[in-house]
Formats: sequence, structure tokens, C-alpha cells
Amino acid sequence: MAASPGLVPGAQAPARPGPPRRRVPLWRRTVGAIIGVALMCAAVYVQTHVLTVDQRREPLTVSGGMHQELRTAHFSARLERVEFAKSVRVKKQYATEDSTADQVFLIAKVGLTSPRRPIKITAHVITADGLRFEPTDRVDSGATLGDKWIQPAWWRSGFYFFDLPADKVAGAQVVVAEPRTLFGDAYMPEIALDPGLDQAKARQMVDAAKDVYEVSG
Amino acid sequence: MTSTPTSGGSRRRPVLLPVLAALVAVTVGVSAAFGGLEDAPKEKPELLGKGAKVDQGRMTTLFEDAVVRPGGEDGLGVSGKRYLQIIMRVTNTSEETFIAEMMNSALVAVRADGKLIKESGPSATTIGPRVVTISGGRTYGQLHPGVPATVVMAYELPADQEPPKTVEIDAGAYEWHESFIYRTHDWLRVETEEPLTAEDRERGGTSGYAPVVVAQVDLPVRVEEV
Repeated sequence: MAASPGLVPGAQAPARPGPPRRRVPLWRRTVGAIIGVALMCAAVYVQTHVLTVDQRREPLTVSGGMHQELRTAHFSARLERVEFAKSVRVKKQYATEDSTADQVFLIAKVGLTSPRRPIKITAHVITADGLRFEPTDRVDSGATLGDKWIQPAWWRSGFYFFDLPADKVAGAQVVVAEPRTLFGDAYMPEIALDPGLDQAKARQMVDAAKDVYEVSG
Repeated sequence: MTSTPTSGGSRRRPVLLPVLAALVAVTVGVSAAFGGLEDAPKEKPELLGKGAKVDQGRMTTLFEDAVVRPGGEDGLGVSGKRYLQIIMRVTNTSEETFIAEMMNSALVAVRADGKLIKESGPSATTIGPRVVTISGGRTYGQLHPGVPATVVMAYELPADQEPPKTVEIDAGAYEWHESFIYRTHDWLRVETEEPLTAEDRERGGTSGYAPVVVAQVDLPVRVEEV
């Protein structure tokens, strides 16, 4: 059996007769090279827009302002009121409990409803510079909405309390979401409620903070 | 790797061997100059005293005081018992609220007069101290980002035990760690690989890790009477 011509050194495959090769002019080669480099640059640039893994694991956020009814598949929310206070008094059936803020209490009154099943909703504050504040433990959680069941088909209003430094109030957003579970849905929705506090309004509202804010627990 | 053949001849000068030999010589020389292939000696933690400020990655901690105090004050402990309290001013330098209990793992070990009273990790035999933040005479449990708070770590002293003279605290550190597999980020305590101890082997461990100690703080203990 004869070896194929390609494997024998020195033995060239017979040239096939074909159309004579035309030389590509220099300007076309240059244009081709430029387009090629541009495409490569574009491909590298597009990669900078790929989400990082941390970003891909973040919840899907629906954003809106005051009094706006915002819907996700799991729950709906609206921000009804934002107030500030230096201390909160929780009135219970047989006792009252006073708690003083380390900085200043941001009190967010939020309305929530669920389309299908009873759920519990937690909240946190994201400041303009991206810091995340959990609801304060100075105010009894029994007085907050985080402790209550949200039933389908009707709205329930309640408070979330945050202990924020006065200079972090401007641009802060209240974010409500279902609590994360270890083996839960990978794409949980959350709702970012923007009270629309700019520098001037934030300073004015913090300066006018109530001494005592009474809620029932 | 060979030099390009000269125009007429087909003789090839070997370049690879001399280059390799030179590289090997340089590598051996450099590693010998820096102490051979032995492990580098471990960096000793900084020795600090009262009022020291330690950067622990996720928080900065100012060690203010250590005091033996009867319980019942500031809502901490029960009256009639005595507590060794380590008082710190902690600022959360991360971007999220964390709980004061975090300081229990951020402080790797606490020794009273050289005897370990706090341990962490799987071999710990006690549930550890109570760690709280104190404000306005009440105890709470949160450290919000960028907001300094007074944190107290309290150990109950047995009734018949003399109060210790000093406490030594090993401060560990946290880092914003990227997971090798998932590429996600999380705060993890900085640890190094350690040789297996007999205890580890008994439990069937195959590799030993120990938290890195960035600073050791020695505090004299005050005793406050009732």
C-alpha cells in the first residue's frame, strides 16, 4: 500500500489546476486589518459589561418612589410615609418600652400585600454610598412589620425602624424583600422604595425629628 | 529553540541547553540566597497594650479596658455574680450591619494570666462569652457600617476564683475573600495551614487550619467592687 503523498517528505501533491490567484491590493488588506482589530477591541469591550457572579446573585429589583404601588410576582409594596425621631415609644398592652436612637431613627411606613400566599417581608436601608443598614434592634421587633404575616388579597401597613447617621440619610432607599433562605429561589425579587430625600430635604427632616414617636406593639 | 540557520549551511548551534543551564543556575542561586526551600519564619504578631487600635479588615477595634465587675449593671449579667469584661470600641468598616457576636470569632483567643479562657473552632468546650454592644445603659447586638459602638465581651468568673491580673487577646483578621470555585465574595477569617495536632488526628482531620493573629493585646485587669 502506497503512503499518501502528504506523508512522504519531499513528495509534493500535484498542484491542482485552478483559477489564477489574484493579488489582493494593499489598501484592502489594510482596511481588513483595521476592521479585524476593531472587532477584537469591541469583543473585549463587550466583556466589561458581563455581570460579575456577585451581581448575578443579587435579587431582581423593582424601584419606585413615594406612594407608588410596586409589584413583583411574590409581593407588592408601597412606601406610605417616612419620618424621623430621636426615640420610639412602643405601647404594649401592659407596658411601654422607650428606646433612644444612637444616631437618628428613620421610620418607614410601608404597605404590603401578597398575591398568593402569606409571607413575611424584611427590610433594609441602602444609603447613597451603598452601605446596607439592617433594621435596628433597639425597637422591639414586635412593633415592626418584619414580624407580621402579610396575607394575600389585602394590604397591611406597618413600620420599619432604622438607626442611621444623619449624614447618610440623603439618598437612602428602603428595600423590602423576602428573607433569604439557604435553598430558596435563586432569583428573589425585591422592591427598592425611594423616599426622594435630597440633601436639603434630608437635613430639614432630620432637624425636625420628633423627640418621641409613639407606636403600638 | 535553535538559532536561525545560516544562509548557506545547515549547521544548527544549540541554544536551548546553555539557556536552560543559566536559568537553573540563577534559580538555585536566588533561592539559596533567600534561605533555600525552607518555610519562611512566621511573622510574629504585633504586641500592643491598652488603648491600642487594631485593623481587623472587617472592623477596627480600639481596646479600651478590661475590668472585673459585678453583674447587673448596664443590663449585663446577673447581680451576685462577677464578670470579666473586655471593653472595646469597634467600628464596622464593612458595608453591612453585623452582629456583635462577630467579635467572638474576630478575637481568636483570650487568655487570663496565660490561661486560655476563650477558644474558637470545633474543639471549643464552652459556648463562649456574651458579646453585646452597650449604649445608654442597655445591651444591644448590632454594629452598623461606619458607626462606632462600645462592645463588651463578658466572661462569668466562678465564685471562688481570684480575678486575673492581665488578659491577653489574640486579634484575628477578616478579608473580603473570593471563592475559588464560584467567584463570589464573602468576609472570611484569614487562616493559614498548620501542621496537624494530635487532637485533630484523633477527630479524623486531614488538614489543620489556624486563624492568623495580627496583633496580641495585653490589658491589665481592674477590679471594681460593688
